[in-house]
Amino acid sequence: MSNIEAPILKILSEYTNKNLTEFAVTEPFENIGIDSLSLVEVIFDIEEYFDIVIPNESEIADKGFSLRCLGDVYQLVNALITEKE
Amino acid sequence: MLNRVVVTGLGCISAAGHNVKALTDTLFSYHDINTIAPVCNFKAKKNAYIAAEVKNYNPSQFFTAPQLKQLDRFSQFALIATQEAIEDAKITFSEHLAHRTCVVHGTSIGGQETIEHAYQQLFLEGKTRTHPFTVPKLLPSSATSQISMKYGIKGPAFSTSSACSSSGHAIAIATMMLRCNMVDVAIVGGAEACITEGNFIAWDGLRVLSADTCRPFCSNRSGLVIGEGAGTLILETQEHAQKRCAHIYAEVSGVGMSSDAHNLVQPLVEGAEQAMKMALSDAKVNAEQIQYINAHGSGTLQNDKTETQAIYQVFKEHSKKLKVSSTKSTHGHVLGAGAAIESIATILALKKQMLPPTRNYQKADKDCFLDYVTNHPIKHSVKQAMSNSFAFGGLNVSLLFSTYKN
Repeated sequence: MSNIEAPILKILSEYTNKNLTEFAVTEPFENIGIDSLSLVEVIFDIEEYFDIVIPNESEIADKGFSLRCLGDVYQLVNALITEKE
Repeated sequence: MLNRVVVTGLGCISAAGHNVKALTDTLFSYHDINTIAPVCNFKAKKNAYIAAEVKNYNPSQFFTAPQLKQLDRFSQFALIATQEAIEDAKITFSEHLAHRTCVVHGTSIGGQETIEHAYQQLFLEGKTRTHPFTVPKLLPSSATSQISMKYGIKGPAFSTSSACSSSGHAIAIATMMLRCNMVDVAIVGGAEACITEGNFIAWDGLRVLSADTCRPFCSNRSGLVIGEGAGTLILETQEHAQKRCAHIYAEVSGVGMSSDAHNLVQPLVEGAEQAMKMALSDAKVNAEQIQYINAHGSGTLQNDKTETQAIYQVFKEHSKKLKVSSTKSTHGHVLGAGAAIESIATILALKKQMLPPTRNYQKADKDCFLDYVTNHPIKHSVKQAMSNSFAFGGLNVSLLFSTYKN
């Protein structure tokens, strides 16, 4: 998991002025300065970095995941990388 | 009774500097200040290789990294010029005023840098998709949206696009909205950031770019020099400006618009003539009451000759007393932002009672026979001044500004 945390944190930090390390991974995105517009860009950057495709919201939900907080992103990216491998 | 419309704020970024003070210092300098230089943004490969780029521009001085992800270069320029204009006007937008304010910002090309970056990724680098905000960034209306979002403006907001007259049309249409009481305040102007490799090559293909410099109305003029930047003006109804004791630079006394209906690139005397006559008629002034014209003066063989003839047709004998200059020789041809920046230059001439020169002027041309202000600014009494913009496709705007009298 730690292999993916650092690059994801770096990507997210480009879209907010808040210090992400000060927040729990369960903190909702809106509380850490990531709005829905920024999340679209964050998803794009993550896809580019890890060479994965993050499905749309309903497909994510069908697989039992969500994208409401950093912890959600870690779980989903981890699953997608594992799936790819 | 129509409202009178006044100018209460100015903002600008161009090759002549990052604000109106720098533009003023450059336009009215008695010394040559080098604003036109070889292109820095990319390596120009063809005949023409010079441009009037915004110098020493570091976007991160103005915007955060997250903001920059959503701002094409032309939107950045639009926001910089607008911030200066709003601060200059010392205006704040209450909830009520936000609904009584419009944003009309023009551009000729829009988000060219974004388009070319996306195409490079798609067609050269083998990417299969573009950044998700490619479309909202490149839209010609994105600068207008960014301005309205930043200041919470909730009145009419749209962009005008009429090539090199874009911001002239923006000023004209906003003036009409103010006159007929649709709004109290208008944020108007234009922005352009078109010095990109693909766009530059395309312009070079038209054989209108100069390979040495911009010398309008000169017998050895060699074409236009593309510029970049933005200009924003704050317009208000006289009543609104007076109520808040705003500093008034000038009055927008007349607007004229016309179309050549002739050719995509060749200008027509009659079209330019009609726009100027309409502006005079709109302002209810005679030709003899105009002291200065900030000409379109692009520096191309055809424009300068045609514009000279058109000015003569409108002003006849008075054209011998009328001073004419093209400040494109200083800030370049800023396309959709040109009329806004040149309107600011015209207003500064009214304010300073000085006329900015056509720089780089060398030899007189028999086809350009007006009284041009050349190479150095001159002191001159000026109460009414015109700014012309005659765009490709025959889209013409003439704006008339006058010193403000209550």
